[in-house]
Amino acid sequence: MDEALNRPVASLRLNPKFGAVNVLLALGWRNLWRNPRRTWLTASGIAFSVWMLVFSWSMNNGTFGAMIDTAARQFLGHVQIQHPEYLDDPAFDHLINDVSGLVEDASNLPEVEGVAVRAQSTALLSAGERSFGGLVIGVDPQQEAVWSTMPSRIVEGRYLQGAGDLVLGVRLARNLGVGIGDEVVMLGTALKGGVAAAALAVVGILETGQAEMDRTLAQMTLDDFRAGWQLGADQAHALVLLLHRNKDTAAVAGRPWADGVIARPWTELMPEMVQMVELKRSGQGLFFVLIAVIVVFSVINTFMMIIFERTRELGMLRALGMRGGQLQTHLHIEAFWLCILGTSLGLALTGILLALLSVNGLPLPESTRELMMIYQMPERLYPEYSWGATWVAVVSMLIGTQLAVLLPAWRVRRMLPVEALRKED
Amino acid sequence: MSNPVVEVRGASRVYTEDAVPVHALRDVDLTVQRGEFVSLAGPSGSGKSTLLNVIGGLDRPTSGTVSIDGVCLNDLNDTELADLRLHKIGFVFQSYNLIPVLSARENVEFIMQLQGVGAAERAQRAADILQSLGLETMGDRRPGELSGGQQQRVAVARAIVTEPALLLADEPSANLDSTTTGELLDLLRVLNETRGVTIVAATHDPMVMSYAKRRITLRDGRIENDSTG
Repeated sequence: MDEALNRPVASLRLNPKFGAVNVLLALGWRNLWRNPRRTWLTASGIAFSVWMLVFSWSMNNGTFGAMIDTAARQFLGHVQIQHPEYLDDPAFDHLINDVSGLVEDASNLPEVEGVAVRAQSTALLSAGERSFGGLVIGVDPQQEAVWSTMPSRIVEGRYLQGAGDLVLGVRLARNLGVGIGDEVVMLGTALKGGVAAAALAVVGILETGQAEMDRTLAQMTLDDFRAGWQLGADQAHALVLLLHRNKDTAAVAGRPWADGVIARPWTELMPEMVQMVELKRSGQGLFFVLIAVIVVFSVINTFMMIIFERTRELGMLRALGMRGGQLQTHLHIEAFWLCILGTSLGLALTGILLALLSVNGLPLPESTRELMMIYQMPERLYPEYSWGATWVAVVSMLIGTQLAVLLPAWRVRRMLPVEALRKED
Repeated sequence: MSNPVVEVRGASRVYTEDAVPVHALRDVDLTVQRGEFVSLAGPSGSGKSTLLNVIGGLDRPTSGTVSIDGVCLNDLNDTELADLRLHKIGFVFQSYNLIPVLSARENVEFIMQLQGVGAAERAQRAADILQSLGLETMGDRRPGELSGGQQQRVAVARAIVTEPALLLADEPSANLDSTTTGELLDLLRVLNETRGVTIVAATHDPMVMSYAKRRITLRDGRIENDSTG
């Protein structure tokens, strides 16, 4: 007793208050369950926000990944080794040399699943009285067969097998009025302004689902192309690399390659896909912000109700000696628990759903098949879990709920204990 | 030898209600010595609760000074006032005002936790005080599981476990029957006589007044009568 009486107030203010943290944590958690329905409702709002962001981001990750993979497997690859100026100026003489050395170099990389050498040029394709412009590509049929989906796009005839074979896009074949076995003559510009010419028999017609390709594409063997367009045996326009994982694209593109070539990642080869992904993610981000704002207002409302209901109790805590800052901390801790509850619920639901979908996939309706082909999407979508979205969702909910409590907590901090204690229950 | 715990000098408290000034306290002088058991009586609106609030640092006088244990409350900011209440004053409220989500034992430990008392010492002191008040079997019960009398005893335990210089009680018997009130007052008397706890209780209840050694009556914000014995 004497010790308490003799203790000056100034020194009391310096006493450690760490013991208060435990009781504030316990108070915050238990207070949540004084009104379970309201707690579950508010936590559900937080859970929905977390679910919405993480689930949709993960599904989009999977979708974008599938689109990129489909596009890469069909034609473009994840990385292309080109002449440094070829992307901006696809002139015929922007060639890469020592292709066999580059193929050997690329094939030894563990990230690389397959390589394909290609040379290409625009040409005038003629059959009988009809002539149309097209994109003629020389490919190695064996390399393409390993990983490219182009051979599987054949709708009539067969894919390239050897010298003299020609495959046309379905619309180009229709425009030229040719079918399997018909001969097509191609005229173009070879190296150093020479005339490039080839006459080959159509062995197959393919349909990619992309109008531009179906209207212009013509494929022949690389040897036929080199002969007709007068390229050297070790020259081509692109070495196309397919990787096991899309995430290795930057690393493979960024490694040192031979002099006189440059590695282009798919992000440079398909800038429109990058823009589409960014656009979709911007929309997603905006939607999440809107939902988060609604959740913040819901938390504000919850805590305004809490301090209204517990005014007398909060006044009593002040009367017993709790500082204004501790009382404010008390509410922030309660909001923290609410956020932990909501985010845990949201992440658990998201995890379960994504786990189920990662096994079974999300089937797309038959009516969207044409659209899927155009956008190179698979028939089933599989999620790819986004840790980044998880981080963003949890941190933004933590910050959002803490900001939401600022106003109610400020009111509590300013509360006069004598007035609070007068309030009727 | 003069050893005042409470010193009130010329304290007035004026409220404004609907733009009309209400004089809840008018120039009150009061000194309470250590170890006294004082009752503040008077009709409703006489100023007894206001005086109790001013002494307890829950309200500030419009004019005049209040000192507790030698510390002038007028000089303290809100945080310092909170610290003074935490360390020097115990409160017993009319409606018990226990924290409903904490058990009886946790309620008793609460103020010690705010003070930063270690866990082992807290547990021991809480167990001792609950036992001395006959509540040793009630420690794990929450307030809603206790009777009114038991809740008020827990509130007293919470108020005195930190051995404050002053115990303030605002209508401590208002919600209790006469038997429970008698038990509570016996308890307060024991605390006052054996532990030397200084008690100031605002009350309407003649039974509480009869237990107090010093009875002060207020009327219209002024001390009308101050008698001992």
